[in-house]
Formats: sequence, C-alpha cells, structure tokens
Amino acid sequence: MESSYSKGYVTFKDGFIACVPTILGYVGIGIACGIVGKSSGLSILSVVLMSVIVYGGSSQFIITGMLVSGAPISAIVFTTFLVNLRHFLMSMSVAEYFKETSLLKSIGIGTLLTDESYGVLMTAVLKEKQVSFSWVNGLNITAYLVWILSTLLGAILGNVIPDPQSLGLDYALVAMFIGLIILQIEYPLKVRTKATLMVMLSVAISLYLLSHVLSIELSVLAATLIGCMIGAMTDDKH
Amino acid sequence: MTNINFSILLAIIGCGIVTWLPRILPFIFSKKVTFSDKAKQFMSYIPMCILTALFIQSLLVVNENKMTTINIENLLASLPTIIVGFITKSLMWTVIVGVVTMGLIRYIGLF
Repeated sequence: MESSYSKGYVTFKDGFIACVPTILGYVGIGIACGIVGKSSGLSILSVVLMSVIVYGGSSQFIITGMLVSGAPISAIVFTTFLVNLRHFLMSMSVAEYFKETSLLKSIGIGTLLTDESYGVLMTAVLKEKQVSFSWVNGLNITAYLVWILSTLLGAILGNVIPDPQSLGLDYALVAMFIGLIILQIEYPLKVRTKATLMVMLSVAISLYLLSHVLSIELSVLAATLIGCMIGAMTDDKH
Repeated sequence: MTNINFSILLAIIGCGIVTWLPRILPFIFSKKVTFSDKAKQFMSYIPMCILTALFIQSLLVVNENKMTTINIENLLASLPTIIVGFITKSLMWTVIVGVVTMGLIRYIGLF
C-alpha cells in the first residue's frame, strides 16, 4: 500500500511540511481572534474551548460578536451553520477523492478540514499526487494545533492590549472575508467575468433590499440562495 | 479569567456540532449517494455567494423602521484591502492591510 503513494505525500512529517506555508495565516488570524474574544469579555478558557470545539476562523469571530451583542443561542448556532455550509462543498470534493478510505478515517479527515488545508490538499490532488492518510493528518493536525495555540496567545495578549478596536483588529474578520472571496472568484472572474459579477451584484442588491424586511441573518441566507439560483441559471447558457 | 458561563458553553457546543456536521456528512453520503449535476452546479455557487453576502452585511447598518445605511468606515477600509487581496492573493496580507488601514482610519479619527 505504502509504495503506491507519491513521494513527499507519504508520512505525517511530509504533511507537516506541506502545512508550513499556511501557518503564518493561522497565526495572524488566530491571534486577532483571541484578542477580539478576550477584549469582548470572554474568558481565556472560552476562547480556547471555542478553537478546540468549533475550529473555524470566521465562525469564531461571528460567535464572539453575537455573544457580545446578546443574541439568542439559536441565532448564533443557525448563523454559524450558514457560515460553515461552505465546508459541505469542500468535503464533498474531498470525499470523492477518499472514496476508498474507511468511513472512520474519512470522518477524521473531514473533522479537521479548513479553507486553508482544503486548498493545500486540492493543490496536491490537482498535481495528481497520491496522498496518504498520514500525510493528510500531518497537514490537518499541525493546522489544528497552530490555530489553538494562536488563539490562546491572542487571548493572553488581550489583557495587555487595552483596546483592539483602536488597532482595527475587529476588522480582521471583514478583511478575511474579502481575502476568501478573492480566492473563490479568482478563476470564475477570469472565465466568466460578466456572470460572476452579476451573481455577486445580485447577492449585494438582494441583501440590501431584504435587510428591510427580514432579520440580517435570514437576509444573508436568502440573498445567498438568490445568488446561487442566478448563478446556476446563467451557467446553463454556456 | 478561566471561568466559563453556561450559556456560552452551550453556544460553543451547539456551534461545534453545526460546524462538524457539514464537514463530515459528505464523507458519509459519498459512500452511498451521488448528487445530480444540477444540484452540484447550484451548490458550487454557495461559497462565493455566502462570503459575498457576509462581506456586504459588514458594510450595512440596519436601522429599525428606517432605511438600511452604509457603514462608511468599513467601506473605506475595504478599498485598499480589496486591491491588496487581488495583488497578493494572500489571506494573510489581505488581513494585515485591512487591519492596519482600519487602525489608521480610527487613529486619524476620520469618522
């Protein structure tokens, strides 16, 4: 079995090495996330526990924000669910690749899947590399531990830095959305410029209009579905 | 400092479950069903659309019984962030430039 994997994609250590380029990203956002959490009044334990159990950058910013604003738990959970629906799609394409892997191992891979680890994994798949389960674990577990430690560091720093808002740290989440959007649309924007812009514009306009009649969380969901519908419809013409 | 509020714990566990399920369910499904091309096509737009919606949401200020307005501060900070994001294609640089820009806007006291 071992011999059928591509060179450099076999051991846990190979996976760790593959994770290194993304580490700085986790550290930067993790520290910001920890600082925002601590300065929002969450305990260090809450911040770290969130990283261990939820393990999602954008969701953790949103959960923190909603906890501070006193939103009901149901709304927090529902919003987090929506924010993370994108992982469903990511896992779907990864699952195709690991169809032969046992269910338990597959669940292990999916549990620690992030935007970044997905990117690294799919780049390997694109290069037609045969990756081992140990390699994926090296990639995923390194990222997981780095994330937990970064948010812990941020939460500790949160005591030292008095007002992260004055430093603009609360804006890290919005900036990350911008970064993630750019990574998402980079290719479609080249191949289907008009259609991609139209989908995004339809999301923006419907969100603005819907925000007058629905709660903002529901508006986000409805605007997303409208965007997907327009995207799927215009795709047919090609 | 190390205490945890029960409702916060509940929120974290609830969020943990709804974060975990989308990550693992496709692995269970993939062993049993295959999605139609139509469904796959529709779903392929979800990441782009939901991220756009979340970004636009950060630019909006919802006012009760009044028109929704624009958060000028966030809008202004977004411009250099978008430009740097397109140039570097790096999540880290996008975040750094965004945070620094917002810090500067608040330091100058533009709004």
